[in-house]
Amino acid sequence: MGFKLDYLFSILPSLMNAALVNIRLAAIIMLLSVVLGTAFTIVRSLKITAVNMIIAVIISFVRGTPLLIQIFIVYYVLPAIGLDLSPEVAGVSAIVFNSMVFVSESMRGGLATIETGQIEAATALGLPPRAIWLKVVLPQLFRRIVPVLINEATIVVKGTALLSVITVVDVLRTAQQIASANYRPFETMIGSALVFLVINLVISLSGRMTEARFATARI
Amino acid sequence: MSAPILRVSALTKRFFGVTALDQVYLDVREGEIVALIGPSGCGKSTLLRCLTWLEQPDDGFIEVTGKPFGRELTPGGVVRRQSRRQIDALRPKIGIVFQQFNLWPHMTALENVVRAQIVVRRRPRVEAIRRGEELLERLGLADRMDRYPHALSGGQKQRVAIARALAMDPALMLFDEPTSALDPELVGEVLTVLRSLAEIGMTMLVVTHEIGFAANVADRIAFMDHGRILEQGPAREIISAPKEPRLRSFLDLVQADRRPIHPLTPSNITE
Repeated sequence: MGFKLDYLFSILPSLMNAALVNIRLAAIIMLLSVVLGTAFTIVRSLKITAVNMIIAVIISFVRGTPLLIQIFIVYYVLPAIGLDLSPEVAGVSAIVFNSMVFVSESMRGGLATIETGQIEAATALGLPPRAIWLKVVLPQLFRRIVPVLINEATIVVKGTALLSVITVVDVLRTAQQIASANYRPFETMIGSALVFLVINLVISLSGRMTEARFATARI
Repeated sequence: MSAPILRVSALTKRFFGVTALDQVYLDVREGEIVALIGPSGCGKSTLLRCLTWLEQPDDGFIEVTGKPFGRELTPGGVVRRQSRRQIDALRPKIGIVFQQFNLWPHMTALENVVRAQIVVRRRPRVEAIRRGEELLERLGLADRMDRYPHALSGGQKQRVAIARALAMDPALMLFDEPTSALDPELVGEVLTVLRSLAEIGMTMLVVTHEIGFAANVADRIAFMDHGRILEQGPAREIISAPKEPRLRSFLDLVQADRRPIHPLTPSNITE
């Protein structure tokens, strides 16, 4: 059974259609992880010992266990404690939880590079903590972690393929369905890989453009 | 006589058991310019940081325009710490200018001056911009308003930082070695700004190593060592007739390299 280019082309429309699911989920996941990751970072910066200890445990769990297992836990284990989520919601929650921790970790790293003097100047002027975060710290922090966020976005896009195992009909699951109907795994797998590659190339490219724009402002 | 703009009494600060400020008493009256001098590590910067509550003093009181700042004595005689909100409410009254400028790098010079006015003083943006432009123009930065801090020289950055503090209409300006981080040729432009502020009657407390500036511009000089103000008085008296031996040796040290050097003339070469 050889590789047939025309067969690859024939399945691309349905794969691209399924890619909309991956793109939609990845966008929701990134948005939520940036928002929650920021909130997480602010909570950690309050330096409440008990809270930070709990957070440290959460972080080591997220870092030390495979994403696939985390997805299974949310989808198969949480219903046992009464939290029955649809495949999409379960999958999004699991990846957001994972990604939020990484966003927060890189924000914490970026936080250390903002001179305390800037925050002291803001404090001395009478800016309340909320305004210091919103006007002084976060705008700089986001610009600094753009490369990390872009990297995280590509990981999230690839991560959405894992949701095929909890019955989300995404690119990979569609490809598997086609392959099992036509016994042509070669073209279908190459096809689905290509779809992910294109999505991530677009993300990297737009990321590089954003970085270049910030670089001219040299911040 | 009116209440002083700033009254510091028995202010004490310890860092891990090391006493940085030891019962500091200091009054600054309206329109007065006080220079704070002393060897490095003597507590000058710590004093300014405590006066803005960036550092919490362990003991003692600060009064700004007659109002307690940071800690107050209740009628029952109990010392009560003020809330962050109460402290923030008084902070705009005390402008501080740092050695390292501490401008916000992601905002233009003008935006640096405008932002706090909008957030803290609740000024409409148009009014804040008008005030910002007026101040930057007065400090000679009319053509630098749209520049980001990285595109400004040290002296220009420091002038923006001064404008940022002035925009809050402070009753008192604190300067923490405002010229120490500057290249020698840029020191003059910042000192000129300080002089012009002195001329318009701004109340100032200036930590400085520029003894000449202290002697010529300040009304009063306070000398600090080991967290205490050892001697204070009219500027010229302090410089010309120091009583405290430690002040005398400090002045000798800082002025050692300012003594006129014998000019190299053909006559003394041949000597």
